[in-house]
Amino acid sequence: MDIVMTTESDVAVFSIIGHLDAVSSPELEGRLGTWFEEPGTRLVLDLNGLEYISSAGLRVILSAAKKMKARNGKLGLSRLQPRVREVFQVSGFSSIIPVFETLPAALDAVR
Amino acid sequence: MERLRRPARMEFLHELLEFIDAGAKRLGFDESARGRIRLASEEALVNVILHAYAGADGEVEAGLSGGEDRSLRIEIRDRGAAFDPLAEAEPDLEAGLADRKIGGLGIFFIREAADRAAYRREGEENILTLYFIRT
Repeated sequence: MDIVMTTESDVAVFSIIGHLDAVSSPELEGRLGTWFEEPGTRLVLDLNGLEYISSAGLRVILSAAKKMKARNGKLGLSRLQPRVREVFQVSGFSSIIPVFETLPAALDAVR
Repeated sequence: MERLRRPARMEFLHELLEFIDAGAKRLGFDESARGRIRLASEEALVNVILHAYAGADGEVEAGLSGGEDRSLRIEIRDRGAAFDPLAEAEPDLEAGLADRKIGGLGIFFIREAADRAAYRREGEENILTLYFIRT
């Protein structure tokens, strides 16, 4: 897994590439944890390059969603690939975390 | 049945998953089916790695067989305390963000991704069998 963090004006974007599983999810958790030390309120996870996610990856995303809610921030996910989308759908995550077809749509939604 | 046995530690998860994936690929499962196979296998192996030995050392084994009737049978074995993951309650998939819990989701994915799953205890072993049918 690779994580590329960029800032689009006032929105933090984490692009997550590869496999988000029980081995790699602690790294994402650590990177997000560092970001959460600052008072940012606009966060997008761009999943265009994410090929695979398991419950360990969902746990990290759920935890980020709860932290964003606690600070009245906004979180959006963008560009889920078919297999990742399927996992979000069957687990019910698509209905609790906003998912967008494009990165600009997610950026607009959290602004 | 081909088998791979490793210490039940997270650093061996990928090797076990690659062993299973190579078998699925050899049997002609397509990428989408191999994604489901990887998901169910990861969840089953991670359960053993995190919970089977309560912090003590132990091993986990993946066994593969297939070919006949277009199926793949995966057996995940451990020697921890008797535990039937398939007897666990279903997670509440309708809960909102505030009430949503992650526990149980791994087992839900095992049930959801496999065409059939079965648990048995044989002597000192827990054996979780996952079946996948090639379409």
